[in-house]
Amino acid sequence: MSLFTRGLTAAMLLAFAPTAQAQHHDHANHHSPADATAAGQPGKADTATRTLDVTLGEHFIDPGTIRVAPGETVRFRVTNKGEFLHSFVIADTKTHGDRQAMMGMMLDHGMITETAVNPDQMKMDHGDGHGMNHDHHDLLLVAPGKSAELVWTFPQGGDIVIACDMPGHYEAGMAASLTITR
Amino acid sequence: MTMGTEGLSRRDALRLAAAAGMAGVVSLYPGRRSFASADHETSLLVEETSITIDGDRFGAIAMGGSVPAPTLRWREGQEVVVQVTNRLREPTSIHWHGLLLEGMMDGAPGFNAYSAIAPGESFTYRIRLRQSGTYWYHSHSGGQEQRGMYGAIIIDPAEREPVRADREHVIVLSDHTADHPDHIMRKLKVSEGYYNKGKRTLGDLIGDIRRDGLAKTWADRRDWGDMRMDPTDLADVTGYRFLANGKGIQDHWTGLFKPGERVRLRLINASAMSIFDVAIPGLPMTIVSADGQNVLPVKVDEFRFGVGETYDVIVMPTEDRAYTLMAEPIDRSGYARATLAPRPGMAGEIPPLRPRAILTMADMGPHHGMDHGSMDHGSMDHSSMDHGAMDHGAMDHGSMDHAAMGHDAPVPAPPTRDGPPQGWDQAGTPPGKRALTYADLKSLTRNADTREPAHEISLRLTGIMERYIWTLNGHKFDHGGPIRVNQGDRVRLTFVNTTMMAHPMHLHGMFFELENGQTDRKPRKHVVIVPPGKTVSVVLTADEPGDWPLHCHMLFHMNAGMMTRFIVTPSSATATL
Amino acid sequence: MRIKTLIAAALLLAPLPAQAMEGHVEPLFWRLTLDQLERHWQDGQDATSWKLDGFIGGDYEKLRIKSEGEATDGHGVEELEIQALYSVMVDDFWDFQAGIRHDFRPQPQTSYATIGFQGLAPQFLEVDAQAFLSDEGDLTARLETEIDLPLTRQLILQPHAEIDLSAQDVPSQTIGAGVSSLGLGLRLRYEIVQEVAPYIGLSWEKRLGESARLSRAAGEDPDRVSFLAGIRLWL
Repeated sequence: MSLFTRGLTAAMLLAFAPTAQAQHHDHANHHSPADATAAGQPGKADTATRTLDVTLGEHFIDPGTIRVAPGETVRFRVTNKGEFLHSFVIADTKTHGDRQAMMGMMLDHGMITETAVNPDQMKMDHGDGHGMNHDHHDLLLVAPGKSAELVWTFPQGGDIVIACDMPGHYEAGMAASLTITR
Repeated sequence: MTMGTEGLSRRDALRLAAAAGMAGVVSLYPGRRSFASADHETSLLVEETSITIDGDRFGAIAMGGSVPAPTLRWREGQEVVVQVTNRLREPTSIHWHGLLLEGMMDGAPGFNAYSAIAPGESFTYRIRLRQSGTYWYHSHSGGQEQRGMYGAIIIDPAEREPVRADREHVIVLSDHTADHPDHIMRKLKVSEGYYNKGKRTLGDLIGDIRRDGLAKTWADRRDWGDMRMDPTDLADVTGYRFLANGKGIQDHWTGLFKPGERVRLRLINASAMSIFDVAIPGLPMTIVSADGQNVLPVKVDEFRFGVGETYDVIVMPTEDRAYTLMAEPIDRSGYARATLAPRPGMAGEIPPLRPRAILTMADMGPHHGMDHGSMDHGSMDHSSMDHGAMDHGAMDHGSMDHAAMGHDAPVPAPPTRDGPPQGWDQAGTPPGKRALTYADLKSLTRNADTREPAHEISLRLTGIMERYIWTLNGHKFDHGGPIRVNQGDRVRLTFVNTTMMAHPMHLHGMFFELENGQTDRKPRKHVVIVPPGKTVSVVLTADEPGDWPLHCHMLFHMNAGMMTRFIVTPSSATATL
Repeated sequence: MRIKTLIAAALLLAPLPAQAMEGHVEPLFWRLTLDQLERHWQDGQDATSWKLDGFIGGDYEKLRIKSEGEATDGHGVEELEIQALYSVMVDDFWDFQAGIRHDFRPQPQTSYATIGFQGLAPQFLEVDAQAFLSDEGDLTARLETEIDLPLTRQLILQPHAEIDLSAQDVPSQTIGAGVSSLGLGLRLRYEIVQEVAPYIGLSWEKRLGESARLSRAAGEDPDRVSFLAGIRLWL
């Protein structure tokens, strides 16, 4: 839990942050196989081989090129130095498309704004099937000026992109290329 | 100090300006280059030329040897020098559209003590770049702009570029015609509706009666007849060839990409008279910049493109195929076409032209002496509204606020019936597609000044279509008084369009902050479209002393009188004088 | 510093008429319209008639020339009228006009002072209303109106109506006091280009009351129906 005291946003984002799963009644088990995607799966902090500091801003992810070893678990310490709400998502291209659509929906429903997370709205069930999806553990939302962490275990290979999936940010260039190499 | 202003020549003015530290180092002798300490130097020759559009030759004016003129690529913070030599038989000028600069360097003859460049003479512009983004340059003399005097300016930011693209293309849209601008102006003046090829005929009347019934059709015809106006008047001038980077629809300019790349398109509407609807079927566009100023990225399928505006968009074509960028003028009298393709020689599909909208009484606004005073223009749902049978009394006007006015979304038109889309803002957007609205634009940087305006200025956009007189507050340029504000004043300008034409209003020397519902992220624009019958307001901080043109960017509207002076008196001057 | 500021201020504040007008000189426009040049076929004498309208000027003030005339087969030019008018905009759609009219035919020639209004009435009615005071002191008036009804983009139907009034009898011109004559016309023109449009049509003229009596006495038919064909041109 201490990881989440760093930022209000991160604390609010229980739903999104993989290390919070233990706190969440729906998910008794850490990192169920359902959390795994083609881009890897949430990892345990104590297995991380290194910590990588990442900066988010308009509209960039710094560093823009990230190399990891096959199967490596990396702890990402993500800081938003911009003026807008950003996300940090590790996924394949198709999943990024889904996340972008989802975040567009969240914006439309007022769960998030362009600059912040709306704490009231985040807890609401919208009753239209558009409630918060609690299964996106590859997604980290970071409010301006805040930091958050994500521990991720990468697969042996694959076509993976790290990007911000706030609508339009990816197109504006907010992505880092990821290479899995020995 | 006394000064005979009558005889103030450009050289005198330059000398004075230089002495006053306004212009920095200037060339006092035509022909002599004075590039002292410039970071970037360019020479542009202005000369008669001819261009070939889809196999047909047209007379034109070239700057720097081509139409469009060469793209000028600079960097923020640089001091750039451009020497312009006039090889025409008439005076010319170059205005740096959207740039923050000294008045003398703005290039609008008759303003800021700048005079047009006489035939055979040169003028040296010197500009310290205080901004970044996509802008353009064009003649500010007579109708020369329409004859080819326009080109792109790209200024790279001094700091981190907030948009990362793998490649970029500049796309300059324009309209060209064999008719000389003076000839067009005469036709407009002596023959009302000369260029309107779409006037309503007996056939239209029968069609309308069949569709809407006799009573409604009668009422509609009576209303337009009372105003002596024609709802098919969407553009004043037709007969244009629409160009993308100087190429017609057959020669179609092509920009290359590799599938998967992020491609930045820097689009400039450099046309004289044409407002376009721009779309790339199959390829959504993410708007990242408007009028050179970064905005929060917004993903759209199309946008309405006012004369003088610029938009930077990102497209991410993933397929190995050609795409067509379509720019259809709102009167649908043709289209401009550009191709984005992985290889040269490819051509994308060309969608059918969209139907032309017809104006409705709602487009006339409450300004026509008819009783339309109670319509709510801001929030009405066009798709569910029956314009023809509008109840003129029932709609709520009282709840309308500034921010919502004039920015009503071009909601998808109801193309279900036989007739054309009803209303100026009906772009014929396909169902499920999203068109940009001004309300979508949010400045990426916070507005520096969020004071409430102390100075309210109302500017009615007025005109007499029948006589082709275009005016502001009923006055032709220099027939009415100028607008005067003091340096540092926070000013609100409210444009009230009383005419049936859209007017892209342009201010030199400063950016407008468009009141589109944003509080501290109002988009900064140098052109705002004021749709027919609508009201649009902007605020600005008058921080650039000078005598700035404020005008409609429709070339013939400006030349017919739709211009005024926006004079910002230097604060030091008010203190000392 | 103070000097610099003063110069800068002077540059900004001083009116600069020479520069101000640069590129924005009030331009002059002109147009010459041969509104009707037509052949009439009718009972009795066929005839050729014409109507000309020209102006030169700016947006608000113009010099305007109007002329009309008729030549009857075998009799030569029987009517020829020329007007020179100063025209000034008084409303978005209306000009006030004042000037002189001279009738070269019929003989004896007559001169008039004239004032009137020309413009566009609601429902797109072109209106020309003039009052004339002759050198003999006779007061007459003429009211003309017409409208363009596009059947297709190039085929345009133009109804036209004219009414002539007189304050007194003018026997030399076979005019009686009151409504002296009515005229109706219907022309269907085809605009090859806007500047060139041939047409066919019908016209009907009727002299009334004392005018009719005077006409009959002069051996003229007070009712005249004719088929016509002509061309409309403008430059």
